[in-house]
Amino acid sequence: MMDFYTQEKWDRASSCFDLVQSFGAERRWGPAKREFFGAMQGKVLFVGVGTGLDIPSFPPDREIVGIDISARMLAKAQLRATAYHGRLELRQLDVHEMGFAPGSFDQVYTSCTFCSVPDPVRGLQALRGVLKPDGELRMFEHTGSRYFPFNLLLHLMNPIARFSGPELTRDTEGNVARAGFTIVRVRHVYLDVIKTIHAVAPV
Amino acid sequence: MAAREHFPRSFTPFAMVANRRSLYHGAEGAASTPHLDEWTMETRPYFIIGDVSCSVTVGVMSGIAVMATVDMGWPMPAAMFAGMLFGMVVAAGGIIAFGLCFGMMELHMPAMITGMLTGMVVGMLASTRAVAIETAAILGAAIGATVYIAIWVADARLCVDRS
Repeated sequence: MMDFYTQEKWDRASSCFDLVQSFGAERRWGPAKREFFGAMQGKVLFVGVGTGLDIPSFPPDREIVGIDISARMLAKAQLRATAYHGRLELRQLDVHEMGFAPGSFDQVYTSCTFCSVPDPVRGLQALRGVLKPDGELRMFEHTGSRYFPFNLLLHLMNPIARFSGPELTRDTEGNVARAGFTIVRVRHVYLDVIKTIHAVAPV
Repeated sequence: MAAREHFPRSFTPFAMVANRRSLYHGAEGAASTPHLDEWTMETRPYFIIGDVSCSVTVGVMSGIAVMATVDMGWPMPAAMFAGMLFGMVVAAGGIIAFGLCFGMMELHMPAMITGMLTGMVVGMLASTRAVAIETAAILGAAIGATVYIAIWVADARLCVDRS
């Protein structure tokens, strides 16, 4: 069953999401994201399409299924999806209950998604289920920090951030390991807060 | 996650120029995106100017706001605590205003630390002596610049690759 609270929260956020994210953040992260998405190959599941801000960073001619819990976000993403040179199908799905057959995908990509998934370990376990054995999980995420004063600040700001959208204190690396993935590489993009995580599903 | 390996980086001008070049090339398109091992911390002038402006502006505004509120009648602990809270509120405004152009994730750390520190320092000073508005503003600007540099250095140390 769809998580309607989360769906509503992101439906509300869709009205100003592009205004907040599209210029500053995407311009700053653009080179890192192009490099990150450049490793797409095979059949790819992209979780958390949002308004499709990441779609221009996808390499062309890939076969991608993009999902998001918010119908309003997906409606905004549709224009960008139409402009993509390749096969990109958008679906409104909850990551906890996607309904894809086991082993459907070669890779799963996420981009600032698991700060918002209500039960991250269960969501990651669901992703492990739809990946082929030895399939890749590649994440571009912001997480909590291990270091003072950054961890203190993130905890102070988390209640406000959680109300409007993402959590700021998630241990996403730990959640990936707890969900049964083997972490191959973690790369810090800014402090230890914004990072890329490359993991593989067990064989 | 066996090995913890620092990225090859240094603070020599040559290395900084080389890093900036790799970022510029990356910004031009996927075909010229730098290899992972060439990727490094922020060196693009647009974002550095934005980040510094945000920190310094938050520092100046926090200093003025706290100086205008706290006076010598306040007990020092209360003045410092109130100053910290004012600084956080001013920082939140700065993060939203500058974040639209420069990205909120990278701005919120230096801005929040600047706001809190400036609020505490100016609150402490204003509770013990008369502080001129210019002094509070300059102090805030100096704290903002110092915090930005400290976080830039922290970023250089924390941007590591763990394979």
